[in-house]
Amino acid sequence: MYARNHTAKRLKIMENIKFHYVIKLFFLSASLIKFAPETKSLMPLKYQQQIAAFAPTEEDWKEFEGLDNKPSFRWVFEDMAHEKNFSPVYSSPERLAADRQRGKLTFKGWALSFFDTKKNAKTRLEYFTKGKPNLYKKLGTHIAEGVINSTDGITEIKCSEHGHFNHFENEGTDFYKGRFEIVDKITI
Amino acid sequence: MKPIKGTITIELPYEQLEFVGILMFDVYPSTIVYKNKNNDVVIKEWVDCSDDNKINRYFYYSVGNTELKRFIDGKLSHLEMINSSIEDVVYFQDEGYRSDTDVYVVSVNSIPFNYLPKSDFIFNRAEGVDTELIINNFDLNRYNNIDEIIPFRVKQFARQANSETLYIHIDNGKGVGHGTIKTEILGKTLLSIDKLYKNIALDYLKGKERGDIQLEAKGSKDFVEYTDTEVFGFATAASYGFMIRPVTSQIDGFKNTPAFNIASKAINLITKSKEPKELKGEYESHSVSTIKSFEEFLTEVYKKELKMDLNWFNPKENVEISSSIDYRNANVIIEGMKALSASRVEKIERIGKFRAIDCDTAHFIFISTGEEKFSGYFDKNTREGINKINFIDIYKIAIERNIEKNPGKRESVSYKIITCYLDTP
Repeated sequence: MYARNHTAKRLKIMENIKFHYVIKLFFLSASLIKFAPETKSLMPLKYQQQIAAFAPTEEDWKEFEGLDNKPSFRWVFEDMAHEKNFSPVYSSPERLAADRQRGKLTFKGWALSFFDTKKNAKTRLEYFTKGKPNLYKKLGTHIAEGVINSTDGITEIKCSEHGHFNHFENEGTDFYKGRFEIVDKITI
Repeated sequence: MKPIKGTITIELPYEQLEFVGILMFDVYPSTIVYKNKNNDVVIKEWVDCSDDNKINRYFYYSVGNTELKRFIDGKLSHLEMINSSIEDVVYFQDEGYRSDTDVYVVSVNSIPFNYLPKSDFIFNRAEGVDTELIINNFDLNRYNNIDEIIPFRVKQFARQANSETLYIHIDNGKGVGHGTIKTEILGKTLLSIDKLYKNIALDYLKGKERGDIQLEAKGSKDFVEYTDTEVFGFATAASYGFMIRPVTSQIDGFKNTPAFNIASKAINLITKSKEPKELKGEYESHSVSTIKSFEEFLTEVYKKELKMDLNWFNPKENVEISSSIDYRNANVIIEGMKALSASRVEKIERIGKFRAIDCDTAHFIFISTGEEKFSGYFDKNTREGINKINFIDIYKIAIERNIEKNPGKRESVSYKIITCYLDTP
């Protein structure tokens, strides 16, 4: 926290004296690298800048840990290259706008949602599409299975009652590279 | 997304819409609650989006605070809440274009099927997002004890159809699921209710002393407008309900229509029979045919372990009467009827024709001008001369009906002609 505040102060001063843009970038990068260890990830997180804006506390990060061999299931679209398959919740402008309107924006909006079992993933997706038959267009049509490791990022330790957990990807993590495969689908 | 079919209007009819909260879902805001300048509830439902996800389609509608609270409490399905739209219409609008698009006004009955929740989709409070905020905003806890006997939607349906309505809500039973019911059970239940209704209607028209009336007979056509009903709607929630009305509307501005009298007799029969003290009185105040059809109805309820509510509603006079029965009540009534001890003799006078006479046994079959059928024996004093009776002339007869009911035994009914005259001017 100290490092972040300190860097921000430095940035502000530099902005005031109209320092060169490249210099500003340098300090910004430096601040992100310094901040990363607070997240328990050895590497900077993907969407680090957006997450940092919420200033999550150490207490917030206590729920997350680098876990290995974690079986994970996620709602996806049939085309595994679909841009929404591994996008965080806030990549949906409607969801982002709604949370902003409610004053309930959270750093967790930049995490990926997963489930602990195929059954839990399917049950939840079917529940939502029962209430809104077209919601599959937003959420996905298939269930993909993969394994998450600590090298991928940090994972929520405790699942919700529906088996849901969040995962913050590291900057270099790319689940599109054949890490997940489709194992089931819902009836549309 | 397919184009919406509806009447185009320039803007939404709600003034000064203010965001209140998201009802559901956490994963995607798809049912959003607003209020207008009068603090009325306006709901915005996400229903569809373009393939590139950039254009989103919503529809808006307003509902009463009671309906919103009942939905939150899980007493009204999502579909029922949409159908209870105050204006009977919803307003479609696509969002995501650079400027506001036209608004399409669509009747609640014409909303595309894939834009509606499944009929048994009930709100789960644990899935709510801003539920408490919404409840507090509209002070919905004031409506905690409201448990309408006849659902708002059913009343609205009856008003639209301007029909007196018998709403039968099957809560529980074999083959009764969430918004579904096995065809056989629905069929048998409907038939037993229809038979009971018909018999009570005939009692109303001809009196409880009437004989058997064959409604298919030519002469019975006049009764049909009172005895026949039709199913004209159904309502599904966590159970199954259907709406029945007389085939001929009898709403004429009077509270006590023939249909009301018939339905109230049926509903009272069910309610009062549950009280052991009143069972005998009810038993004796209906015809033999009605009691028989009531027993058949009770047997159906018992066999299928049904639990049902029967509600009568006259939308013009805003009159409602209700009763309920389950298989336990049915069993108590059936056993109570078995244990009844009753005997009565009734004298009936009728005009009509003989259809059959056996001169050896003095057995007769007589059809009254009102198509009632009586079958029995001539009294010893009237047997003489029965060989002179023909099947063409009209006769005026007096019949003694003897009803005997002993505990543990079925009711026995016998007819005896005590006087018989040729009907001459």
